[in-house]
Amino acid sequence: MLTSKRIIIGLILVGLVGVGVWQMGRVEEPAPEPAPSTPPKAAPAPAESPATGSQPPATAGQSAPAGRVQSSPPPAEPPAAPAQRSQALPPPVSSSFPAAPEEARARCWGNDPNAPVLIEVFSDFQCPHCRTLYLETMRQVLADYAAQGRVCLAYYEFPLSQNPYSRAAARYAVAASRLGAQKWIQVMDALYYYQGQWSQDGRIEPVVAQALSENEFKQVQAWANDPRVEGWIERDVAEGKRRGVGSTPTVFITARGDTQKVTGAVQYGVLRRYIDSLLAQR
Amino acid sequence: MLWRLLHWISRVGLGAVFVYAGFVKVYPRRHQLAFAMDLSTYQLLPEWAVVLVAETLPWMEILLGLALWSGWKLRYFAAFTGLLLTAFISVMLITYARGIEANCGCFGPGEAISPYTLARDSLILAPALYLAISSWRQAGAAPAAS
Repeated sequence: MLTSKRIIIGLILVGLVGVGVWQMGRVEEPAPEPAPSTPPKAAPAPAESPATGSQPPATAGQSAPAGRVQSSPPPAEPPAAPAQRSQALPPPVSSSFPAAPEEARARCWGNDPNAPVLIEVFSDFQCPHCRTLYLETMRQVLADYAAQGRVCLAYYEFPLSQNPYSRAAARYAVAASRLGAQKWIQVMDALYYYQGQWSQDGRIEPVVAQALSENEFKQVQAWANDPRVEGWIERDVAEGKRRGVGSTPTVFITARGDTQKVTGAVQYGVLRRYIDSLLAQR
Repeated sequence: MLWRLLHWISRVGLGAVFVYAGFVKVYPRRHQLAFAMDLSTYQLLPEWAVVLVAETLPWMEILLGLALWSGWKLRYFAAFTGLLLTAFISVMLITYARGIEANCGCFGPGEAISPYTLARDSLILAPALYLAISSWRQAGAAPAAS
């Protein structure tokens, strides 16, 4: 008698919770995204990055290997300048090297700085999980979403103190970003792909050099030694600490005013489901 | 009397923890997708398995919590709860020991695995083990008494 009574109570509770969840799912109305104060300015896509982590990155005289990234449509606008990144890092003609921008969207890689989804990654070049995240997930995000203006991807330097060569690698990446999206990706590819190599002896220069032409490498080398690059990295680290980043990689995904923090390397397919759900809510 | 009270508190408390843990993972829907990302950062399962676990585990937690509340087949559900918690803690420990930075995914998104989360989940294991052991003992004692 007592047992059947409990079964009935259990069934009623299951029913109540089920109805509650169903009803709440129906009434959920996401908050409207605030309209941008200024009209978005199109930026060229970070095109032609290598496709998968298993493939070596392209070297200076070599175009990126064929893959799904290249199947993405090219940017509609002529890629005259790395417009979006150049807001954060000025073109090489400028002698000044300003501080990192406060606004995450002002530094994003992608075809639309006002893309509905903003992904911010705090990363360390010597961290193996950051390597996995970049090579197996974020390159696909760049190709499949950022290049089409659906995602704005911003990378922050967060060199950890226990990794002796991370900061030097970060300096090269920041310096390479001044040459534009394509060169930044080439250097990122090389640094992450050959992470196991330069992490042993700290010989970063040959790895960066093979990703760029001779002149580009000289330019990047000069910029990398600019003390203002160090200031840029410090700003990134401070921003990470302010936002509670304690380990790398840490990813913040923002859409419709709501931010999701993820610590660790997420598989691309799983991240894709999340991004698609955010895009579907528009 | 005191043991009965402790038994009741363990049952209701553990049930509440499981219902809450499952509910915050399924509502709103994006939490379930975020839970899949948390599982993914453990780097233990292939993508399809991550999705499968993320879609089913929260509902199982809710049902388990409700079953504990109802007291129906308590010894089986309490034992299953204990095993499930042991599995969770083991996976978290292994991940933490491997140096993998991952989200716990225990009570909603955004919480990294830490000594705190490990200690908290171990603490939840205590009433589950107590419930399982005491209800199996009761079940063993009942036929002997008759």
